[in-house]
Amino acid sequence: MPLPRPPLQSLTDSLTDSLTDSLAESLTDTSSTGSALQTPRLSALAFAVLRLAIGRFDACASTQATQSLLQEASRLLLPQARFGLMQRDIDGCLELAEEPAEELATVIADPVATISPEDIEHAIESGWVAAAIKQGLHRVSWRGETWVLARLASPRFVHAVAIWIRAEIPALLHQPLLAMADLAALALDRLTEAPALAAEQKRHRETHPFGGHATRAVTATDPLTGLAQRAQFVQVLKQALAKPAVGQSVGVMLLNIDGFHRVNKELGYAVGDQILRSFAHRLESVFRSPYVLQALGIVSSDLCVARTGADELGIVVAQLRAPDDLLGVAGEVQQHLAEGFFQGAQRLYLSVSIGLAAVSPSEEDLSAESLLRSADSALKRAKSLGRNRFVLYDPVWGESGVLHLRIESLMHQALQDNGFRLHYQPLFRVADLALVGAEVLLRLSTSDGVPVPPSSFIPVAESTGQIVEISDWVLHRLCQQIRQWDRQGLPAVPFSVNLSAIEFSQEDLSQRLSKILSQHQVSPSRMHLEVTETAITRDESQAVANINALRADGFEVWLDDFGTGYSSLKSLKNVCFSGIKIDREFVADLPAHANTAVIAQSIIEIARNLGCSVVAEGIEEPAQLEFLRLRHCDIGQGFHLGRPVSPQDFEHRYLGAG
Amino acid sequence: MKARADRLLDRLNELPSLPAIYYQAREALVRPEGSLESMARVLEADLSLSARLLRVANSALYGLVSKVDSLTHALAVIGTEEAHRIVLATSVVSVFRDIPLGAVSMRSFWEHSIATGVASRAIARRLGQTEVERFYLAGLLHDIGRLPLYLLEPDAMGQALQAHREHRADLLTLEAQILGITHTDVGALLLEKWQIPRVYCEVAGRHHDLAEDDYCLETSITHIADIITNSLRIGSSGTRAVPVLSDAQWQRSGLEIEDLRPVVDLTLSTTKDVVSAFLES
Repeated sequence: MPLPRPPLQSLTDSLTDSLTDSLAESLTDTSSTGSALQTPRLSALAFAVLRLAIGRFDACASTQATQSLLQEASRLLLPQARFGLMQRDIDGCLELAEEPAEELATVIADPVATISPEDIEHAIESGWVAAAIKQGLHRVSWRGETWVLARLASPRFVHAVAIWIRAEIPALLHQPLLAMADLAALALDRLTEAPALAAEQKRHRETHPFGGHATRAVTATDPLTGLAQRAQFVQVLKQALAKPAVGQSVGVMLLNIDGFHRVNKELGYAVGDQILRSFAHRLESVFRSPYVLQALGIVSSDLCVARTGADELGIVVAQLRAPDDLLGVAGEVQQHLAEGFFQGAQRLYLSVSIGLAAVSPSEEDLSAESLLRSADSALKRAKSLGRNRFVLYDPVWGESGVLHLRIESLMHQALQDNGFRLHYQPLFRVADLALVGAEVLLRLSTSDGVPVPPSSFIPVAESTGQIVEISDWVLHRLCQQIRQWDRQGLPAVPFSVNLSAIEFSQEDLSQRLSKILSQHQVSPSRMHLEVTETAITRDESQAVANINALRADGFEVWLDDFGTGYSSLKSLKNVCFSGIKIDREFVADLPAHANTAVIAQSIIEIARNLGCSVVAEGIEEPAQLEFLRLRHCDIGQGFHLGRPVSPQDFEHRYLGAG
Repeated sequence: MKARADRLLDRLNELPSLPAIYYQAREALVRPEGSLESMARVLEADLSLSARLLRVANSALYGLVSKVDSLTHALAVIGTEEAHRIVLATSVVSVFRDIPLGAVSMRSFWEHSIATGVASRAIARRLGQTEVERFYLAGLLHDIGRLPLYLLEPDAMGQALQAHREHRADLLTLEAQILGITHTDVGALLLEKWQIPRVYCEVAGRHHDLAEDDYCLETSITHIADIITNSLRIGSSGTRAVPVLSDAQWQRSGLEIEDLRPVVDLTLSTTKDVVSAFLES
């Protein structure tokens, strides 16, 4: 077996050449037979190591650095020993310190170099750890190996227990090992002392951008929340998936505070950060509970709680008993968050959406990426179902994912080869049924002519961003049509076009539209733009700015589906519309349903008082038209008056051509 | 620092106070003609409180063999003295139950408090004490002083919790360093202000004391119960560390090491049900 090479470079820079020589020799000696140690040389080595350790322990700025140094130093003294450090967790439990990164990577790569969790377990169960804590140093022989356990403690606090395991550990080394443990303990003591003032912590964090004192895990934690970072989260997930246990699953939980960007925007980033920190703290507390661990059938080391995104936290659950167990725990988490936060003298009530996913080892796709993607779909679904809920990923969604993909490529194709069609539904003045315009509707069919309803492809287009490109196509096509009908000398009525939420949140909406219209020499007065309430709420200030700009450019802007969004009256208060379209829901029950009648009439009155014209959608019966006529509704639309038709039919039936 | 602590104490009356119904019920009990019926009549005026009382009376806390379905029946089964305690317990929890805190959720705070109450009661029973419910109340109220700290000094406590988490510093020490006063002092003062029997004030005030002294049994038992529930990690009033065990308090309690196992088992098996009786609607 080759001799493991200790990181001599870092520790022996200041040693003289001769000392290095003797050191190397003594190392060779100890490894060859393990017994024929030459006392003078050993003590020279021990002193050299200790002398350096004294100086460098003092300079350690983090527990991580202290642990690394202890590891380095003990490797110099006992090159072939397996070494491990059991760190005392904040609540008194001893846990195996995670391996220091980078500088010792080469040594760590040799699996013999570190002790295993099984070793630790054995040492605890045999009472050796307890003996070391009591006596300072405990030595025992077991299965042909010597174990030396040393306490890292000050009078105030037991920080850790160090363990060395090797075929033989000469008694001569006990004192140097113990001395090193004491030195490390002093350093840790200094580092974990309570800083009296927060100012000091702040200063500390500024000089150490990655959080300074890494206490529990040696891996760098997220400085804001103190949780693991995404990289570690993914690594833990991969490890859990790499060693699947029969009959058990691996679960992932992703949590996102609903509307968190608004906290940041309205209350400032400092408050947002504090909320996120409190959120993380509460989440960690939930997962400490014995009842929660019991509900999942796991122990705490099966968990990794991490900050997985700017405002997203995630949890890996290894050795999960059943995926459904995650649901109960998600409910528990929501209870702890739903009670609200007391922050900066105000009470904030925030909800959280949770996406859950789990795989069992029997399943084919065991990649971390695919599990994370599933959890993310579940989170998205929780959001789209109205937030403040948790959703467990269901593999059958994969099907709709496929459909999504198919529609996406269908639209892509349609944009390439003019596969979209425009249909026109006429609008009439209710008073005398004169044609006053038409709403332009987009149609898409599969290659074999089966129509795809807009309710299926519009959401896909919005999620992929294709909506803007499609909208461009619609505007160009409509402009061409207007020009053509104008050239034929047909009545110059305006046409209504639906624009999406994405477009209303873009800064250059009015420039974009004006450019297209001027390109075709079509006047903005020929185009009415329809926007839904939901589209406005997406980015309200930008939407309002766009609507004002569009109206200034001469477009009419209509509020579509009025009454179905949750902010109906608010949008009327803040935005100046040219007209309002009463949603078909309020027309369908007319005139018999008393409440509907009152609501419809009130909307008409509000619109009139605001100086907007009002369109009733979905008129399907003569009685509805009559009701609206008596209430002086301006414009009507619906199957009773005219269905959407192709441009040719529209031209013949409504524009009176040929 | 002294001034800061005084300011905090001056502001204790900004906190919600105990509902009038608690004092009325207490009065109904001490009146010479006082009876269970008169107390039940007082309590029945508050529907949500009486519903809560029934839930608690039927929870694992009492382990009654048959279900009680009326307030009078419940009071008869548990007795007047105990009725007073249970009214106090439910009043305190319901006053604070729905107030949002910061890094520690109110729910987590009560989980810890209830678990400590359950553990205290289990210890007292183990030791052959009578009227063990006073130990439940003692445990339930032991950390009550943290609530004024969280509600009146949210930023400072946020800072303290952060330091506690990052540096493993003792939260009690941090309270003293940052605020000049600890949750034990504040708790004792708050309970005094509420005119709660003195013994509970001592428990709140001295459950972290380590020195050799003449502690009352409730204090020493709560001291140990607090250590047990923190090790079990059932809820948390803020700290993640197991408090330091006082030799003197251990001696005073009269517990033996062998007693711990059954106490832990009973605490684990009972707490969840008691928590939902107190907290869930």
